[in-house]
Amino acid sequence: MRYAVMARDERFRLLRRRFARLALAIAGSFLGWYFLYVALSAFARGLMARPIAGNINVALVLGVLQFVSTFALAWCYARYASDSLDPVAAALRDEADAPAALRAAPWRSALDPGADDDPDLADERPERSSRAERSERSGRPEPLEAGRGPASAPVPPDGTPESGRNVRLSRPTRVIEPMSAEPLPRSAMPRQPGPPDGPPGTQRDRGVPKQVNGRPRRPREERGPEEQALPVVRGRPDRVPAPPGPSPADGAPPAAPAQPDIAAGDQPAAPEPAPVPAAASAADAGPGSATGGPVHAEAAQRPVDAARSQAGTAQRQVETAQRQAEGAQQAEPAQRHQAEAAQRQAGAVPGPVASKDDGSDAWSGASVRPDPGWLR
Amino acid sequence: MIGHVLGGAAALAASPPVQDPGTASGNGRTVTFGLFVFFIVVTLGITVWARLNTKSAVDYYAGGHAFSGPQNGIALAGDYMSAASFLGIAGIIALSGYDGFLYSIGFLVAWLLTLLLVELMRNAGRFTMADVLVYRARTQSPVRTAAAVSTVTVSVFYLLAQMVGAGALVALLLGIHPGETFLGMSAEAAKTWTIVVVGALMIFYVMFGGMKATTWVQIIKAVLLIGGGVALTVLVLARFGYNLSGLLGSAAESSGKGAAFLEPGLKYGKDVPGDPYHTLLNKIDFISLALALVLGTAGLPHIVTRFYTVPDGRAARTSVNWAIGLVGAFYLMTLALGFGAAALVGRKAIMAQDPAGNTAVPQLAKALGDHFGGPVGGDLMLAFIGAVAFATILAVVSGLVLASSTSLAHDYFGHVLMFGRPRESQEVGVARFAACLIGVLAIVLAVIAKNMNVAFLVALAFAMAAAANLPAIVLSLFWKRFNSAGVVSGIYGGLVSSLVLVFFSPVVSGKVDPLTGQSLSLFPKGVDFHFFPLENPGIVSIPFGFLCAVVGTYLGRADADSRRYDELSFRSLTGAGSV
Repeated sequence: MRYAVMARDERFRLLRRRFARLALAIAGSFLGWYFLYVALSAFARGLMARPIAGNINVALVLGVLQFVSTFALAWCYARYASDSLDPVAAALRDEADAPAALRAAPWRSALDPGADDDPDLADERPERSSRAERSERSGRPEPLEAGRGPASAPVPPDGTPESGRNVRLSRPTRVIEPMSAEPLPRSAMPRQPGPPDGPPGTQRDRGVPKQVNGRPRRPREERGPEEQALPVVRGRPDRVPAPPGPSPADGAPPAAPAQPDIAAGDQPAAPEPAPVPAAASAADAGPGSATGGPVHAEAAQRPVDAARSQAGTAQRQVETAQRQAEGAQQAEPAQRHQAEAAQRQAGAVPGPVASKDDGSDAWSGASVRPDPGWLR
Repeated sequence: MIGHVLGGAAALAASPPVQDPGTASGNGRTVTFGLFVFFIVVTLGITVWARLNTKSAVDYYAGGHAFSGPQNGIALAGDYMSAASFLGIAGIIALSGYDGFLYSIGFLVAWLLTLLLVELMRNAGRFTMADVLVYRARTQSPVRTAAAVSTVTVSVFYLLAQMVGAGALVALLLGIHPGETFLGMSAEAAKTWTIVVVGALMIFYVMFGGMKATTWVQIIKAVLLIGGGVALTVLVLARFGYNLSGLLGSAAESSGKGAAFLEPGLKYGKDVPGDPYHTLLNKIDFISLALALVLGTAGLPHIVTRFYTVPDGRAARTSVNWAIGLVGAFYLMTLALGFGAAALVGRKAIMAQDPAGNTAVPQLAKALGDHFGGPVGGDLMLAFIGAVAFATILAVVSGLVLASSTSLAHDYFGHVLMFGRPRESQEVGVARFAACLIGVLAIVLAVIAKNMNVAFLVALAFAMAAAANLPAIVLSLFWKRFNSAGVVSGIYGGLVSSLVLVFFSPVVSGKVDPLTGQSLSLFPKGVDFHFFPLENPGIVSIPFGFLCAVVGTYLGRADADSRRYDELSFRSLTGAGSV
């Protein structure tokens, strides 16, 4: 299940480490201080009896200090949690919960397998009705904007070579530390795209690096209207598929609809593969994306069928994904190694996406590839 | 112990009437009674409104997740601060000085542990603690049953102490002495009637209003309580010219114990001169009580159920922060109230009306009202504080009954008795019936016990929550190896050890007041079978509960599905997929 797989994500490990440190620090300090106070009250009565100001003695002061320390620790927890835990948790949560279109009911609410079938619980489902979820409920894909096709892309059916190789584990692919100065492991750095392998017009579904063609990527506000009008799933920033790794040329078109700026060789816009990360992984096929323009037309058509077939094959894909996830685990390090080799070749050494430089959040510049493994 | 003060009030019925300046006059009694009735009417209105707005299981169990962080925080504070805190702690401070403060510190500091766990529990669960515990379980039934047993046991014990105390307290607030009648009732009859009326009201609130009604009742009660506390504190400080040191000095003088009144050691951890064994026992007993208080809050079922009335983990965190602020502020105020009562009312007058000190605050209110506003002021203040105490009792008992009925219906009925899960609308019907059942049980037990010294039950409830629930919760959330066998053995081990140890402790048999020769225990004087020397089993049963959980894990089948643990870990920390 995707939660279990996402639990291996480096960001989640970071969140867990931080929470553990915070909890142990707070629990250790308040319990230690409290039991010190209890011990003093029981055994060191002479000390407690010493007066400080008039009738106020050490005992009273220590007791009031217990109150003060409690308030202070509660405040510290709230502040640290909202600064350092909440953003990470929100990112993980959005990533885990957003792609609802492919999820059939039974495994969505792990607590209550029948919950989604129970109309009593209809009012309980989280109201994060993203476009993907609305499309799921209505049974047909919802248009991203007027005139655009649905964002869902076909998923290669089981058994095809591509379906196996599309699966990646959610290894760290980007940084999500806008406010923290804590250095992340190198693996958490965003993967930058390798060298373009074809005419600029075919660089459609690469990662969107901070620097493109030697120029810094324009901030969101400055981008052209065609870039602005990209579909965005609620709560999720622009996501782009990862740079080309050694993924297969599966020919599956990327999730995004027609992107007029691609032909212009301009900075590639960020397609929004929100409901179908599986397709996104297909999109990061380097050579595969060389299909370019003609594929878009098909892309508009296929998702309609794909969405229907997806619902049918979703169940099978769960098992497949799980098996693939295990397999991908071994394959993943090799892929990463190759990707890094490609980067070194390209000579592109981007800086870490660590700060908000242009008013957009830190994610919009990062190259992110949502993990398809747990979305089947 | 906290319930001690409430239960001690029950002993008053047997004592002869004594001249006391703190009781209500005839007019005051009417005003007090009138305020009680007014509060009851308001809460009944709230219940009717809540009934109309309760349509589904989510509404009944968790108020539709519709309460904001601050609202829920106020309700949490209201749920937590029972009449025992308001009156009992102030009473202990008034009679024994600093030691009451120790008690309130334990009550407050426990909330930090709750703060650490609240988000995780809200994210990983739905309505009850058991929802979190069964996440990784291969079969839900044993875990659900254990959780339901633990919830009902802890809640019923707590409930019993509250209701017995309520009976005695209302009789005192109405100033009914033995030999007098009020509305044609003697003091004994008034006690019984109070228990029955309080019980009926709480059944009504919970059956018809569910979580929405109880939450709003608790919010109102918390506002009244804080308001009353602030008013009294300001008046007390004003009376002493805003000089805290002067207040303390005056209290120490009035108590007759001098500076020792302001230091720990008059009640807990007493030094017995020439007897180091008993001195050490007293101190260990005190540490045991402190341990039970600080670890128990996070496992109290009615607190845990209240985590789920907010939409998400972040709001749950906010609500606990609000609760910490309110509870902390209030307990600081009880410091002033207790010492003020010691200074202005005097030890003798307090003990004359209630040997355990429950009426210290109402008497203080009357004294302050008399000072600032004449007899009318005194009666009004007394009536107001009396109504606040009554509201407090009603709110807390409703919360306890709701938590028990939720657990019985959702955990036991929904998952154990019904093999296929019932539709949740059926569960609500069962929950309402369970509320009625538990309420009637509590009424019957409280009427039977109305003259017994059931004071120890609250501290025992805390010890049981810490020994049975806390190990299961903490290990479920943080230990990969933990499994359902561990949960079951931890819960039952903690519960049974607490119960057995307390049964063979001095609170149940064998404790004799050295001055009067009367039995201070549950059983009368001749019966003595205690061998456990401590009054609070916490220091033994809490580690034992953890030990049972760990041993049970290793002895049980390794159904620890690491994927489920990863999932639980992920969901609890990020809030993904929370409902």
